[in-house]
Amino acid sequence: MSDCKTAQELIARRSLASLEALDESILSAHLAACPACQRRAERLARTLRGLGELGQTEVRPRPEARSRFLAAAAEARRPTGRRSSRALISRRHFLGVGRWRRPAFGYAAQGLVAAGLLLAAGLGLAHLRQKPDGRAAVSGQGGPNEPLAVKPDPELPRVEVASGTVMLERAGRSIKVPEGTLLAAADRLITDARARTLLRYPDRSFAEMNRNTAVIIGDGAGGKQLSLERGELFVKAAKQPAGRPMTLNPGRADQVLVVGTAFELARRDDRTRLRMIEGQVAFGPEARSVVVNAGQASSVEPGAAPAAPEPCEISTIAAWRHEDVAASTPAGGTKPDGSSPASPEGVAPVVVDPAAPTAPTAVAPGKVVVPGPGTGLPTPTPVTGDPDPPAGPKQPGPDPASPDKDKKDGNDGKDTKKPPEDRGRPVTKPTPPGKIGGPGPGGKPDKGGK
Amino acid sequence: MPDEAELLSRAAAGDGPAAGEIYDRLAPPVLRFLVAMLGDEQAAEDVLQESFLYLFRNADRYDPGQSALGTWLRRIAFNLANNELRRRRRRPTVSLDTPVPADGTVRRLGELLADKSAPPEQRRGALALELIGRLEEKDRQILILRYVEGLPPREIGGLLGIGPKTASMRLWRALKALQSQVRRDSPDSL
Repeated sequence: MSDCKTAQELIARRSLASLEALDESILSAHLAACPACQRRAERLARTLRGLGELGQTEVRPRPEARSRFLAAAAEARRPTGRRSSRALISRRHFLGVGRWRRPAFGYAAQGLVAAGLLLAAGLGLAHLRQKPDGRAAVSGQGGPNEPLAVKPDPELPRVEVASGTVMLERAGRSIKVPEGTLLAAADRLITDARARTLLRYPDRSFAEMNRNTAVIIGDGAGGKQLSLERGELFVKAAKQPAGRPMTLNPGRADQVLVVGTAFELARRDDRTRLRMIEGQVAFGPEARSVVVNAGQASSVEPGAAPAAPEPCEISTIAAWRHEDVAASTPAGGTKPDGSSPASPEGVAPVVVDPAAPTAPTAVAPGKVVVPGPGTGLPTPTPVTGDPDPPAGPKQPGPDPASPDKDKKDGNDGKDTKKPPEDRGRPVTKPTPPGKIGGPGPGGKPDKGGK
Repeated sequence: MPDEAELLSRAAAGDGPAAGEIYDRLAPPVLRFLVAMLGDEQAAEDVLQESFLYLFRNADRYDPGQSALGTWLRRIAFNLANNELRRRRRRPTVSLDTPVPADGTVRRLGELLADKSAPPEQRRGALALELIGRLEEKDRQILILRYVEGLPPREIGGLLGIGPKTASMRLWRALKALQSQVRRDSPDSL
């Protein structure tokens, strides 16, 4: 046998330990006479040895990773609810379809507010019953595979989508927050340069945080509250109950009161700028607030009254929502005129919630509400959400038989004397963790293994 | 020393030290696996954490008679890592920053390749990881399972949801792809 192609075949089979004695002698004879094949065989062997040597080493988690895990484990032992099985907003939409274009954020501070439609869509969330101590009470059996009936606090949001590393600071600890987590008063959420997140309230109102953004959750005593420390927020609020407006930056000079509208708010250093798509909000502290209507912008700096509203280009507001969060790191910001770069498609920011399970219902834009005194941030309360299933959209618990039954294998490559025909197809569905075999790739046990 | 089942039971019930101990025991090999799978140390640590939390939540389903706890954890980690890869919608790319498991810690590929005094096995491992990083994801993955993790086709099939013979066939194809890659790219100094 002097055929190099055959030799390569035999080398591969030897690597699978499936070379029979006769083949081995044939291969040895060829390699002795063919330096080229010998070099290839050695290279392949070195590569496989290198992989094997990788397997001999272990990687110790960094101390901070261990600490984070222990904090998360303690957090996870709190009563939990299960994330809704309904995708309220697709990750694809959330991630955007365009590329991030580095915005020219010329302001030392920016505040963008856009008002728009709000949705009166039915609740898609699971229900969480609130205990007096603020913890969730799970109703039903709460088995790992069962959707839980939970009734949420109407004034506290849940992390519906978290793309990238979104950190939650609570009670002096910092953890990576899983999707589905119900937030509590005084929680601080931070997105880094490669993360975005969407916080959803039970009434379908939501606040979407851009990259490099930090917000603090208010206690909800007088209605929904969010304080923007830095970065950009796009907020879309359903019609709020009478006397309980949604308040952005409560008690601050850049306070925004919302009855029912949608807007984006951006803050750099101490300056905040606001632009509206639709609706109407009161911007600024009481007595000095200005009414900002759809298509208008205003800004405010410490110690000053908000600037008189001026027209702005609606189609450029909150364009970052259409950008790919995984794209290059943004510097963050908008143009000096307060506009953000338009999405590549030139699509206006979302006015109608694409995540609405049914056709959205337009609600009249909110009316101006006289701002009340700001409320401080309350003390932390325990988590009430379910920092649950880590993986794909479906999260059945592990198959009861999921711990591996294949402790021993007496078939280590021996069935590969000849390569069988592939009847399998690539796995395409998310795999429930712990499930034996994962989703069937459609491949049946091969029949052509001989 | 408490056995794994007891530790798991205590950890799931809220025993912090037990959670720490089980993490210390089981995390290193699984983290190595995840680093190789994901090519991203931070993501690997995140998936590791999620895997443990999943394990704790489902502790009542663990049957020590069926498998070692580490085997189950690796299965969970494998599935979560695949979900992470799908979520990213892109395969890991190999660059000089690619993490390489190296003697209890992680070193960067570029650093290892530049460090002539690095142990030969670490350099070999780095080069091998770099080489399989050029293969298709399914080939790369099965080579990791077979040669880094040392799993037999039957266990690989269990993870992938295919039969052992199909797993062997895919392994064969991956090996052939690697052979072609080695022929084209591998330096003699490997």
